Amino acid sequence: MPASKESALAKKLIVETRAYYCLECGKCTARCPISRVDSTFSPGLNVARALRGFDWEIKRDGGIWACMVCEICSSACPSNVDYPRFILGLRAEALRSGREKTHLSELEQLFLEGETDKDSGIYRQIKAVKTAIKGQDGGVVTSLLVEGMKIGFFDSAIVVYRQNGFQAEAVIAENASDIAMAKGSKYQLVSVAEKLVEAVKEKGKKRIAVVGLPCQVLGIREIQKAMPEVEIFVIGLFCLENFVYRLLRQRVGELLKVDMDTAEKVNMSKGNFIVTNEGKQVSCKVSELQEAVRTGCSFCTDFTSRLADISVGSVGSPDGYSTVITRSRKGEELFRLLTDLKETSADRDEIDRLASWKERKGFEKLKQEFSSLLG
Amino acid sequence: MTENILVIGGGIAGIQASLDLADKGLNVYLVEKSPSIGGRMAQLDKTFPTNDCSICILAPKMIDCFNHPNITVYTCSDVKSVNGSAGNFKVKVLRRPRYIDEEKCTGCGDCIHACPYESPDEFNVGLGKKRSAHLYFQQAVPRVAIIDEKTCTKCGNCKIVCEAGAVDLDQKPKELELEVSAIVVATGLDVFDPSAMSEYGYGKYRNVITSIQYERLINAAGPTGGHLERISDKGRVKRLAFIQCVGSRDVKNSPYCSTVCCMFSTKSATLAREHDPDIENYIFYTEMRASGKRFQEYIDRGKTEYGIHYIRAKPGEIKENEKKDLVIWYYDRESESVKSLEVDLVVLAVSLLPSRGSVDLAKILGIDLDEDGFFKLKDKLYSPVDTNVSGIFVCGYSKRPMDITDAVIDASGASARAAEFVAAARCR
Repeated sequence: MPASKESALAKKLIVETRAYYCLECGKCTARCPISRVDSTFSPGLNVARALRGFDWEIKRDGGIWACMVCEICSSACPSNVDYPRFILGLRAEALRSGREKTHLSELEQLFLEGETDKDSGIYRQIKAVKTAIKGQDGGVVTSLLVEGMKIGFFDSAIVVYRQNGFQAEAVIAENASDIAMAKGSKYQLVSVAEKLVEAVKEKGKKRIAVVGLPCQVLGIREIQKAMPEVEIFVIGLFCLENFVYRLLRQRVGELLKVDMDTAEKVNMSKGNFIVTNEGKQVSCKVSELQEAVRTGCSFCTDFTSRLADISVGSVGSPDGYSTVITRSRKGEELFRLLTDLKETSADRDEIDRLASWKERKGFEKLKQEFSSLLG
Repeated sequence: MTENILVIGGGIAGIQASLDLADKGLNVYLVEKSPSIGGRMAQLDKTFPTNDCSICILAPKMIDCFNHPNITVYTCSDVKSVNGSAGNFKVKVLRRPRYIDEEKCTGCGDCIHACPYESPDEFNVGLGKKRSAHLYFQQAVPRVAIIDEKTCTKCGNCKIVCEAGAVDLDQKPKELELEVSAIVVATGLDVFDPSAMSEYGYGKYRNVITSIQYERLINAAGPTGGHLERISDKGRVKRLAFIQCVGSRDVKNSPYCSTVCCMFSTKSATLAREHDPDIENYIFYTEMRASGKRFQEYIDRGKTEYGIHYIRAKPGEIKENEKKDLVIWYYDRESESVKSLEVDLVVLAVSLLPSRGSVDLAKILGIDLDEDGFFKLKDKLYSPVDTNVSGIFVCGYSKRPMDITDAVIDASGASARAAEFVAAARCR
């Protein structure tokens, strides 16, 4: 059997990721939100095929690009196999052979429509706006969800609530007050994709909105491909990196002597991580929180949630305003529901600067991480 | 050198070791931490592969042990310190108060009826209630009541009704000092608590229980009189699922295999089918491990005679619906997709761990534990019951996962080694 580049690399990755210890119990696949709806995707199967030494071509590009690196699989695995790392290694190889762009543009073609900016992706409008709602910045996400539900674009929304302290959990919101409770950025990864799948497969929802980070938006589009009968409005957030809550809380406690569980608000601005506690603001540099950053974030190349119907973030807008990028007809229609807006122009240079920086950094880190294996 | 030997732990291994030693004419002190001897075997309904009634084959040994002229049983007791060396150990034992005089109590049960306070029952693993004055279980040996000091309000009802005058609410702990030549450790197992594995919903969903809880449910002497019913609504169980390896073969919990679970889940499924011929049983397994004599045939009969559905998959998660049924999500190998199965009750075959007191006991005795917390052997091949301390031997589950038959054999081995010490001294 002629060994393809992929299977040669896969064999090296098997050693690195402990894949030998795979029991083939299937728990990873049973937990994975993508596998739940798309039977061709399975963290464990990727490894199993490689273990059997099949001359292994990646049958669907979704096989390695659909993974959100949410790490639910590896944390569930009784043998502690690092499935995300396995996939990231294969992505590094795909990068080297120039295949990374194809899959993303396929999804862009399928869901979005507009002009193309090489750094911030497909767009129809890019603006800085402020609503009457006081949210993280301009209250835009909350307003979009409330208005969209009012008019009947969707009957439920996957949002994230604070639970114990600042620790957060995904919920299915079904009315305006449910949505209002989800205000504010959480700075931790919460599995919205899992909740989306639950809402559709178990609760039978057919028109649903979901708010996610760039990595989650990718997963959601994969899920959407497998469930074309469901109407999904995707709101994506700008994101530079995200944290593991437990580690973040520990580090913030060490550096700022404040307990995140009791924080009123947390925000990032110009490289600073700012915590508001009992009316007072304390801050540190985001770079000081590196050890709390999630694994997948180092390799992510998407700053503005390029695959969302609407992307929302604080970069590119003045204080109290949010930047909005509409990327599809659906996104445009949803955005038009917001009346009573204060508008100004967004700083597109700032957005593009960060977007291209993140993309370069992500690709570089991926190549670096696996350079010894790629040879 | 005395002809006394200490056995720590009154389960089947400890009982067997004590009987072997006593029958050889040696004196045995059997120290047991709970109010009765019998251990885990007393909690089981039936034993594999024969499906014998567990207490029926255990109780005669419990009685023999307690009544044997050469055995002194100390229940509600802990070993506090051990000094000296082989041939001459000085052991301090603390006897915790029962608040009942063992010499006077006749086991009549009047105090139990008179006691007004109920609390969760430890022996029934939280499934039933006990009175503060209670018998540890129906067939407890010694048949002496015990008053739970945590829930007793000292109302005195028990004292009023007790015709034997056995209630002593001011009873104090007693310390004993024993001189023994050798020690046999037989402290058995504890059960993994799967609450931390939130994907399985134990502690959240009422109809998810552990294997030991199932034993109490199906047991005729248990809290439901042996009726297999759902915990949430006492409804009938028509679809029963077992999930293997919950905590076992898991590098984040117990990396080892607990050895007995594949067999006991098959047993539990066959018992359920015998109770109700309409029940559908599903066992979600990683491998079906059946290495003992006639064990594979037992599993095969499970398939052919009892219609058990064996599914090779480790479920990803369990969810509950409005009816409090459980929905199990798993990867189905045949269709190569993730599927769900709705059932009425889920039994988690949880990992079995060395007894929780092992860490402290190891320090007291000066013996080593291995990386999984089991008592370490001096040498697996040449001295498979010896520890690193001369004169101290170990047998049963506290040493490594094993079933009842092997625990009995192991106990005979450990007691033979302990008896050698005394025999050797006699020969000098």
